[in-house]
Amino acid sequence: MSTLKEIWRKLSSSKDYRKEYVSTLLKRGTAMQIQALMKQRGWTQTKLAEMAGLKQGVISRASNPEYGNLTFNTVIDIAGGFDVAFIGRFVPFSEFARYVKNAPEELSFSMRWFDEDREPVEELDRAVDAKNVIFIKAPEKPKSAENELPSAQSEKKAPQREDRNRFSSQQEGGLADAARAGSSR
Amino acid sequence: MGYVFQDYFTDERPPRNLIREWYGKQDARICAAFDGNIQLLEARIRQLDTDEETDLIKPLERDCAGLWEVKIDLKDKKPFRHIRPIGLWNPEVRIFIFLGAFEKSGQIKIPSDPCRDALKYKAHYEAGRGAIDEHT
Repeated sequence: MSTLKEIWRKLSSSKDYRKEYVSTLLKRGTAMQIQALMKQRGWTQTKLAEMAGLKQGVISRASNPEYGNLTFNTVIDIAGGFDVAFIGRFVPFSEFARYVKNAPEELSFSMRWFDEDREPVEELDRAVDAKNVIFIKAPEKPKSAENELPSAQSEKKAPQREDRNRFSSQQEGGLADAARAGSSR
Repeated sequence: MGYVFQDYFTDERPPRNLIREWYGKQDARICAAFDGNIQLLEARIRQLDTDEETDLIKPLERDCAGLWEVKIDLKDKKPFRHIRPIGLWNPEVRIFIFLGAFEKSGQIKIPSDPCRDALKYKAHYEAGRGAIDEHT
């Protein structure tokens, strides 16, 4: 598993490298996701074609990692067939590098349908509601403290950010150590 | 689950990292395709169910029997390129140990006899020689 620094070093090697890396992850990654989602749902190419309103031959090409000439229209139709979203957007390479680093955990080869997605959205709603309750309670503090609220909040938040950073670096080190320990045979 | 892809370090002085030696001689297109594919395969294999088999890594035959390959074909633009990282694959623990790689053009392989060294180091590894570490 490459560290962010190693990924950045490779991305810095040349513009050709960067372009090809993006191409590989997008084109082959999309084809692999299509294959995996069909497998997850037990769908044949014919079934996906039917759900997406496309011909089976189009699905055959779309799920071939070597093809790589998909149009947005086809990808959107396939996403519609699976009833999932497809996000295509331009990002700076710093964001791309983070995506590459986290790909083994974040790049999903199985996912919920739209109807199964209700529960996470409701959870999110509850979390937002809970946050609002705290926000409503905040003005109950003495008037003198109200003026200090912004700085008090930022003082409170700063250590949390530090803790989070420390946790992720510890976690990163821990994983690397664990992998080394597991691989020394 | 640990990392799928591992580099093999020979027990020579200094140790050789076989896949790094090959990688160091490749152009940007091949390096990027190799890195991107390995990253995708790492993600895919780590997300397989415990009893799910993968056909992403294939066994080799004839003079390369005993080795496995990752198939990376670049056919989205010309010239088409076909690269084959080779090594040891243990499907039970899902670890692939790189023992080199070659480029294929029809019947021609570059380097010409990629499996000879790989099989030699496979025997070394199985005899407890050399070391492995996560691929980066």
